[in-house]
Amino acid sequence: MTRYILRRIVSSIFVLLVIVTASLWLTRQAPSNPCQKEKEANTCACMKTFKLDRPTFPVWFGQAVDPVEGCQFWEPESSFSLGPINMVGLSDWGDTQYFLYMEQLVQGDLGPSMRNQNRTVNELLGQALPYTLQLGFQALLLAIIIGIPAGMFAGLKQNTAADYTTMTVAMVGVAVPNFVLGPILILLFAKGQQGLGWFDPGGWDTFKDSILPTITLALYYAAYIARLTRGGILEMVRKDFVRTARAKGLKESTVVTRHTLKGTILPVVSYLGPAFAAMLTGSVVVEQIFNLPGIGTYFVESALNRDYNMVIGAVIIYSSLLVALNFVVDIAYTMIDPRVDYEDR
Amino acid sequence: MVGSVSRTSSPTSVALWGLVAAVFLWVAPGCDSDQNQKSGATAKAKGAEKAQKNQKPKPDTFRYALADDPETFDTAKMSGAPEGRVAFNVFEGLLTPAQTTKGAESTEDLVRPGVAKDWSVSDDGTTYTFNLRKDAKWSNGEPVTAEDFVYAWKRVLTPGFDADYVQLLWVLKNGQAYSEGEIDDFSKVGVEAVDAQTLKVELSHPTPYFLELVAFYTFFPQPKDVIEEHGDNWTDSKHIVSNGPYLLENYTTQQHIKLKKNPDYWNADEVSIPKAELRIIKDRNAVVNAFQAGDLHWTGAGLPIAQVSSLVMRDDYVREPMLGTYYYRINVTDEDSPLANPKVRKALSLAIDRRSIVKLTMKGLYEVPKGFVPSNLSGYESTAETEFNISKAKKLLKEAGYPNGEGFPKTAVLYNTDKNHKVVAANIQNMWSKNLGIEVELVNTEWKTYLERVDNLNYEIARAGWIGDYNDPMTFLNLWVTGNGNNDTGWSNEEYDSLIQEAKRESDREKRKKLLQKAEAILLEEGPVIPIYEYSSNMLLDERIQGFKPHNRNIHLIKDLSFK
Repeated sequence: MTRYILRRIVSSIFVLLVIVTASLWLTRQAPSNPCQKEKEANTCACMKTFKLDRPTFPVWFGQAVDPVEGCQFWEPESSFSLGPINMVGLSDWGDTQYFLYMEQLVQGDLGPSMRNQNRTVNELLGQALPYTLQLGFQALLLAIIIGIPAGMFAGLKQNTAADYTTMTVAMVGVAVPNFVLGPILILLFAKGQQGLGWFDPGGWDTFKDSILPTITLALYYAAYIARLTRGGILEMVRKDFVRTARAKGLKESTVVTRHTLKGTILPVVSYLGPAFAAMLTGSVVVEQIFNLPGIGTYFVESALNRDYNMVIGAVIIYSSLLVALNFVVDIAYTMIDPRVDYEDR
Repeated sequence: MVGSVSRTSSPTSVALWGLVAAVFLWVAPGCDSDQNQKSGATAKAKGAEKAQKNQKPKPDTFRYALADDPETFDTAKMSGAPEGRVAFNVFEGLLTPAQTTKGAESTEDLVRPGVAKDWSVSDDGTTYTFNLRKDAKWSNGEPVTAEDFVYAWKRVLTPGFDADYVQLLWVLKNGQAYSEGEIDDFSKVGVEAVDAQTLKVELSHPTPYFLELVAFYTFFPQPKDVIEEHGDNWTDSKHIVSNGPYLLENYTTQQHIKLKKNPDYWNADEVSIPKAELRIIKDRNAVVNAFQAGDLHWTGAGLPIAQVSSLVMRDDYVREPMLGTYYYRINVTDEDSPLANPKVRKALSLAIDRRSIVKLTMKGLYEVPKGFVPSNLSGYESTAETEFNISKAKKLLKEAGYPNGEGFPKTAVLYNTDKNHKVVAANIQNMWSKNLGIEVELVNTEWKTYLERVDNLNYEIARAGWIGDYNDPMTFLNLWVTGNGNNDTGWSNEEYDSLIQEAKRESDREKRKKLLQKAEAILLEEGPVIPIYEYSSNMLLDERIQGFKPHNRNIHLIKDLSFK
């Protein structure tokens, strides 16, 4: 097991490295740059401040950086050209954008934000992350609390009115996207609207402000978990060991909790990891609707603003969460299902 | 088989419930501690506010929306509207923008005393002397002196310093030469602290709008010692030292900026509202929701177009003219394109029914334009007018060799993602097709892609907007001078350039106006730009707010406001 964990850690680092490199390249491929503004501004000074006046990688095709009129860009001490391929001398590699970024990154520094001046990406994302995490946790919890009992209820009462009602509601939950559900909830429950006026329509000052966003984010997953659970129950109740348990006279509640549920829960648990990751990364839309100060808003805005450091910072956080959660789920498998085993033999 | 599963069930279920419990435990303290640390204080504050609301006394906090996080609080570097909303309240320049632009006839009506208590101008209009008040203080107790202005202006002009609006300071004598590194000696630049309370400014040419410039944030003073001590971090709320009617108390990105009244402000007695909270809300619909919930007293500018027809019926709807023009620009550099022909461009302009766009499509939110310079700009009126004349347009198009649009190649209209732009473009597409027989396709890109394409002249026709920086036609007409960085059409006209140059040197205001009017007429005749409408600001404002008067640059100082 230890060997397996170590191997996973090493491969995770490699995955993250590839992701960072690819994002660095991709951000620079997008048209325009962080310094271009509607009114002609001091683009030259801005490019130099963020060291964008130099090649991204030591090797590149065509033009390294679009020139700015009247601006003296960084020049390598030596450079080579091989047909369409250009390359700076080895001694200057450390001055390319990629190596400068990597140097910062290994020290845990995600660099300065290129839009919010004098603020670092660490600082900004550090402020935003707790909100996104809390929203994700709450939504996950709500999805489990609603989803599993609802699925069990429907599964145990298969083909009754209760089953059909629950599953119809779940179907609606899966079908309604959160950008529709959010505004509907605001309309029904927020102050200043026609409805009940219980909550603020946006912002996050108190726990109460997080209730509508949590419901908006959780409903889809609750519905999906309910369907998974129901499917699992239906499969399990037909198994021989369940029939045996009933035959030996166990109480129905014991049959359900001790014998049926654990087999049922396996597909649900394997879904929880990806679902939680999807909630964290998918809160982008919910954050926008409810004006929440989370990472999702930064992710979208900074991509539009070409705030390179912020985009890559958000990508690193999202991908780290994803990698870590997948890891946790894989470990959890071995605990729930002894047939799963990662040991080399 | 059955038995074996049943026997192993015990340890597995323990693990399973352990996992579920772990999830619960993991989450529960996470919620709690987060709530306690983060929101305990604000929750209490909110509760107190709510209690006050019930008793209906005057609110002590003026709350309004900012459309985005300010990029910076450093007045020397900033350039946008959210930045200005902070700067005008937290800092104060030599002069302060007037409360309203309505009825203003000259620059003198657009400003009022700030740090300077009075000023004088030489007869040729190139030398200004400002007398500073003695009781103007920085928030660290130091007096605001003429040196603070010299320091700030020097900082902006320093070559390589990242100041967006450096070009505004090129009106100073030798300002441009210094900022472009042609001269090293700052004493040659036309600003001098004669003594602590006297600032003498020499300009490179008579600049009738200079007083309004001086009231703009790029010209604000800066605290030298604080900046030298903390470097770029001097604007952090724990370091910042300012001299305006309000002080920056706290800034949380994506959430709010909190201001409190500056007790040491020289005119503090006249400041009525003790606190302000600028809430950062990016989505326009969310702004309206927050206003309707009573969380905001003012929406700031810009209402969502989808909701606007119901919002304009409200009693708290406010509209003010705005110093800006919405227009289409045409790339004139492609010799093979019909757009290189001024007759074609003029025909395109003549074939647009602006009245229908403004009244019907835009639901009357904006104004039909006269020329390129907005009609709400005080002390100037366009002599050339845009008109809607299909027969004249057809005639011109025929003369250009495209009778009824025959042989006119398919042309692309570029616009950035926005519902407004899309609706207007579809309308114009329809008008050109119906009135001239010209087919255009609409090309939509996101903002930065649009900027780059326009900047590189990689477009045929593009939607554009220009918001003036000061109430003088020059801010609209100087754009179209050959080589101006914001021209972005490739259009160049010698007569136009020389008229603008002449106007810059002219100190007689009437003569200057004539020159500018003539230049504007050429611009509209040659048609690298097609004005579509004049902007206006559409807002919701709490009816308890007093002292809110129309300002065409949407500058509203909290110190002028009070609760009824």
